[in-house]
Amino acid sequence: MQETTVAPILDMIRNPASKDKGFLLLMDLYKEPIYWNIRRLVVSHHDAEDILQETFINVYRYIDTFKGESKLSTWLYRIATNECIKHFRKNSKRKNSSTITEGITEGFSGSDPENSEAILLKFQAAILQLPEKQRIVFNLRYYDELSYEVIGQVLNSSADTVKTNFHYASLKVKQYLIDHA
Amino acid sequence: MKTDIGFEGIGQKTTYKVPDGFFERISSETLMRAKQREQKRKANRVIWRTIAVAASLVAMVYFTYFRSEPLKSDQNQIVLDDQSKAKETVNPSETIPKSILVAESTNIAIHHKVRIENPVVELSTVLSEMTDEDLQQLATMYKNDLFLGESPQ
Repeated sequence: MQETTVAPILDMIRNPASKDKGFLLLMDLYKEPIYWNIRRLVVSHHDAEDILQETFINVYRYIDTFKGESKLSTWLYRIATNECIKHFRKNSKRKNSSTITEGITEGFSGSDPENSEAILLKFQAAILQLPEKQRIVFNLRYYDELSYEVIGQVLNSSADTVKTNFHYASLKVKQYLIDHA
Repeated sequence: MKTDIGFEGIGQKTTYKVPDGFFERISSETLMRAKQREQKRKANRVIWRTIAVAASLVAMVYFTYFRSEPLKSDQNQIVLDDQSKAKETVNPSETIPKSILVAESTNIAIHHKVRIENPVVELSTVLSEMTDEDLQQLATMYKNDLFLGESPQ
């Protein structure tokens, strides 16, 4: 996403007369990548929808505090990730492995029980068994293709720490796939 | 996505699905919720401000009303304090030695010389303020009184 296209939208949001229009444009630009990032972390669509809404409600409220020190997309990923972490904390006792597995298979069509979908399921299960921080890093790096520096900004960590987390996460995922082959 | 581990065979696909029309409706729904939240926040701010102003007014009335009361009671307290101080000075048993008390009982005018402001009276001060006649009477009485000889002094 080009940050240059974001500047006029930000101006629109900061102007009370065009705030709503600017907000809708911003949402149209970022809702899908942010939704998928959230969905991969929390699995359930309903939870992902709630967190996505909460993320953009925060954007609507705090947009004036965004100083442009990082990219807008980084700021959005950061808000979304924090909301996901809050969600994990709140539901840490409620969620167990069976509900996570249900979440993975929730949207599974079942019409094509070919190996490709079975591998995908296994791969997602492998990601979900990762510790919280490694899971976030792995998703942001593997699916959203963010650089280690940007992930560091999202998680308030150094790029080296992020790199190490990604390395260990990748090893664990690979090991899981070998163990469950 | 090329990683140093390599999941090329898997790619970035997922099995997750979203309900039809989800991405079309989510923007307007979120905007509606954001505006509702904003209105609620503004309403709460008005309520809290009203409560704060009311609390300030109550505090002002309270302090204005009770400010005069402590002044009155303070004045009463001062009167009471003065009375108790006077009592303390009239009863000098704690500070004046036994011999002086005896002198007092024999109607030698000592106690009226003890200053009301300063209830702690040194024996030397009392003696220095006595007239020669008083001192002579005291000495006579000391000689005649059998019990004064038993005094530790």
